[in-house]
Amino acid sequence: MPSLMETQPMPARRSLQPEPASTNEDRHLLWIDGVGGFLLLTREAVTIGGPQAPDADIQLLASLSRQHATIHRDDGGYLLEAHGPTRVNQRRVVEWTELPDGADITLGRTVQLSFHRPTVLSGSGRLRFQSDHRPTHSLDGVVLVADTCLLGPGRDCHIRCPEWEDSVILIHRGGDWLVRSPRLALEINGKPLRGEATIGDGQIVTGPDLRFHVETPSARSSNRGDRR
Amino acid sequence: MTSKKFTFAPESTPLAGFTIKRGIQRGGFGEVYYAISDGGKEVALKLLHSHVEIERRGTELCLNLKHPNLVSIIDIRHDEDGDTWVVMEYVSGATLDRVLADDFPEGMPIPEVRTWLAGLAAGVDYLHDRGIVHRDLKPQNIYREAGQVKIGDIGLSKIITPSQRGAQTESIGTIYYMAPEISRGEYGPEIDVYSSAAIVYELLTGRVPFDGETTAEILNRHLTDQPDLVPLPRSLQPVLAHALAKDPTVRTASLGDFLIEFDSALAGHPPAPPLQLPPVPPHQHTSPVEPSANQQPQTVVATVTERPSHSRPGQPPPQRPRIFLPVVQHGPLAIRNISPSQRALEGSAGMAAAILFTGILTAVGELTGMFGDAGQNTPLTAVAYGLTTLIGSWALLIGTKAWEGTGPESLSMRRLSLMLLGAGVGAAGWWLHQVLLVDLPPLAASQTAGLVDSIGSLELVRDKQPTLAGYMMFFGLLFGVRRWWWHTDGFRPKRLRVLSLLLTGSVSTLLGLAIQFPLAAAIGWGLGIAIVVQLSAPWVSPDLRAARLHQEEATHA
Repeated sequence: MPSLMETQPMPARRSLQPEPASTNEDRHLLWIDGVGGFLLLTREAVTIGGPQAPDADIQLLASLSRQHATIHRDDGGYLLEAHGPTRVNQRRVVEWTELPDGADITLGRTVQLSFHRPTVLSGSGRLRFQSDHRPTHSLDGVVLVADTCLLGPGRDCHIRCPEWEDSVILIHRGGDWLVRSPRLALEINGKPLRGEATIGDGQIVTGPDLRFHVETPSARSSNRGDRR
Repeated sequence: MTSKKFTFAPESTPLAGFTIKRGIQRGGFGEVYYAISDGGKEVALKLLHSHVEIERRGTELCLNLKHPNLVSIIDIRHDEDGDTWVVMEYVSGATLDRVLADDFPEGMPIPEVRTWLAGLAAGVDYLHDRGIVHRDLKPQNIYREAGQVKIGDIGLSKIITPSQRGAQTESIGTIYYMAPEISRGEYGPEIDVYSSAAIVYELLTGRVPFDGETTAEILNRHLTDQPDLVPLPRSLQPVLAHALAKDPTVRTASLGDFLIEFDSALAGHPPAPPLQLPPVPPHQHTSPVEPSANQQPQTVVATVTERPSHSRPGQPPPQRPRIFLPVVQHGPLAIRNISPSQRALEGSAGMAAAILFTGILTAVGELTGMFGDAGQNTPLTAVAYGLTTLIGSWALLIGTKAWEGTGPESLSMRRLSLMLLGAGVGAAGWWLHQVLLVDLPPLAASQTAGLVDSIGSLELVRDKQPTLAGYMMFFGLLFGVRRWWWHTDGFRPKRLRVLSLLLTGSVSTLLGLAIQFPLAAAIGWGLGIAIVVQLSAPWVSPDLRAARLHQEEATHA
C-alpha cells in the first residue's frame, strides 16, 4: 500500500504521550486592525481536538475526536502525529508524518487545514483554516511560534498584512512578547519604541497605518477566547 | 495615509454589551469593528460617522431583510454619547477583492466566477424584489463564508455627491463599478446589474472594465467608452456587452437574467430572445432628468423603487417604461461652473500661446513676402501687423473667456462689448502704424468706391490710407459681426475650424470693400486673428468634456 510508505516508525526518543495540557501562557490572541484575529501557540507540541476537548490547544467546532492530532516542532521541522483519521497531502497518516511547507491536512472527513513555513529564517509555522471549521470564534489562522512571528506585507510573513508599509517582528522570549521593526516607527501605548521592547498585558502597538495587540485569554475556557 | 487609525481602542466598550477586539475597516462613511458581545456573540459594529440620518434610515429599511446571500443587520443602537452604531452579522470569509488579488490576479476560472455570480444574483434579485437598490456593489462588499456568497453593506450605500466623487479616495472603489446613469442622478435597479457585470468582467479578466489615472477619467469612460471584450471568453462577450450597456433600458433586465444568459452562452446556445409582451403600464416613475448640464446626483440611500417584483429567472422581463434623456450639452453654450482661478489660468495660457502663434504667423508672412517687397520698411510692416494681430487676439481671448460657461444669455450684450473692444484694438493698431511710420498697402484702384467712406464729417480714408476712425470701424465691425466666443470656448466643436476661418475671411473682405479698408490688410487681420485665437484658446477634447464638467462641479461644490 502506497500510503504505508509515507508512514515511518516513530523515533524512539520521541514521547508519544501528549504533553501536559497547555496553560494560558502558551496561548495568546493577536488582534490586528484591518487584518484579523490569530491564535499564537508557543508550545512545541500543539493538540487539535473537537468541541468536547476543552484542553486542546486548537479546539475546533468540528466532528473530531478529543485529541485528533498533535503537531510537534522538532529540530526546525514539523511532524504531525495522528490520533484519529488524518491525511496529509491526500495520504493517510498511520502514526506520524513530516509536515512540509504547503502541506494540506485533512482531519476526519471534512476539516481541512494547510500548513506553511513562509520563511526559513524563522522556525515558526502557520496553520490556515481551509474548510469553514473554526474555533467557537472566527479566528483567521494559527501561528505555531518557535521564536518569532513575522507580520507584514510580504508573502514570507507568517501573518500577511497587505496594506502595511513594512514588516514587524514579534519575538517570544522568556514568556514575554517583544516587538521590533527594522524600518517602521512603532509606539507602545503611545510611547515611541526604540529597538526592541516588551509588550505588556493590554498594551497596544501602533505604527504608520497599523495597530495590534496581544491578548492573554483570562479563562482557559476559551478558544473563543477573550471575554471578560 | 492614516486611514487605519480607528477611534476606539481594542478591549474598549463604547457600546454597552460589546467589547471591541480589533478594527476591520475604516472609510469616509464610518468605522467597522470586530466585537464580541457579553454573551460571546461575534459581531461587526459599524459606527456611523457622516450622513448619520440618511444612513440610519437606509439601514432601518433593511433591518429585517433575511436572505442567505445578504449580510444580516442585527440592530441599530445608540451609545451614551448619542452616536449611532449598526450591529451586523460578522462574516469571517475573505472579501472578493482579496480573493481576486491573492489567488486569481489574472482572473478566475469560469466555474468559480459562476459561483460568485450565482450568489450575487440571488441576493441582489431578492433586494430588488423588495424594492431596494443596493447602489454600492463592489468586490470589497462581497464575501464568501463557508461556501456561501454574502453581500455586505446593505442599506449602507455611500452618499455619492459630486464632491465626494471628485475628491475622496474612499469612494474610488465604487467608481470602477458605477453605472453611467448615476452621473445623471438615476439610481434604478439597473445600476446594480451594471455594477455586477463590471465585477464579473473583473473576475474573468483580473481587470476592471474601465480604468484610468483619475476619477474623472474613469467616470468618463463609463459614460462614453465601450468595454474591451477581447480578453473575455468569446461566448461570454455578448453577455457582458448586454449587461454593461450604457443605456439602462437596453441593459440586461436583472441579475437573474444575466445568470441565465451567462449559463446559456457557456452551454453553447444563445439565450432565447426576450418574449415580446404587450406593453405593461409603467409602475415605476423614473422622472426625466432636468435638462441642465450641471445636474447633481441626488443623495438618496437604498433607493426604494415603486416597481413591483420584476423579472426572476424563468420569467420574461417586463416591458420597461422608456426613459427619455435630454442630451447633455457639451458645446460652447454649456453652462459650467468655471472658477475664477480656472478662467484666469486658461486666459493667460491662451494669451501666452497667442504670442507664439502670432510670431509664427508673422514670420511665415515675412518669409513668404506677404508684407510686400517695397524697400526697407518691410520688417516694420511685419512688426506692426504682428502686434496689431496680437492685441486683437488678446482682446478677444480676455473678453470671451470671461463669458465662457455662462450660457446663452445676453448674446447681444456680447456683440456690443466686442464691438467696443474691437474699436479699441483698431485705435491701438492705428497708433502703432503711426508710431512705426508704416503704411498699409494702398487701396487698390478697384477699391476706391466703397459703400461708406465717411461717417458724417469723419473720414474713414485719407490719402488711400484708413484713418483712426477707419481702423476703429473695421475692427469694431469685425469683432461685432462674428461670434468670437465660439472660437475661443473650451467646448468648441473643433480646435481649429477651417469653415469658420473661411467665413471670417469673407466677412473681412466684405468689410474691407464696404468701408474702403485695404483688402489685403483686412483679410490679413481677419484671418490672422481668427487663426491665432482658435489655436491659442484652450480646448477640451469632446470625450473629456463630461469629465471636465464633473470636475468643475466638484471644485464648485
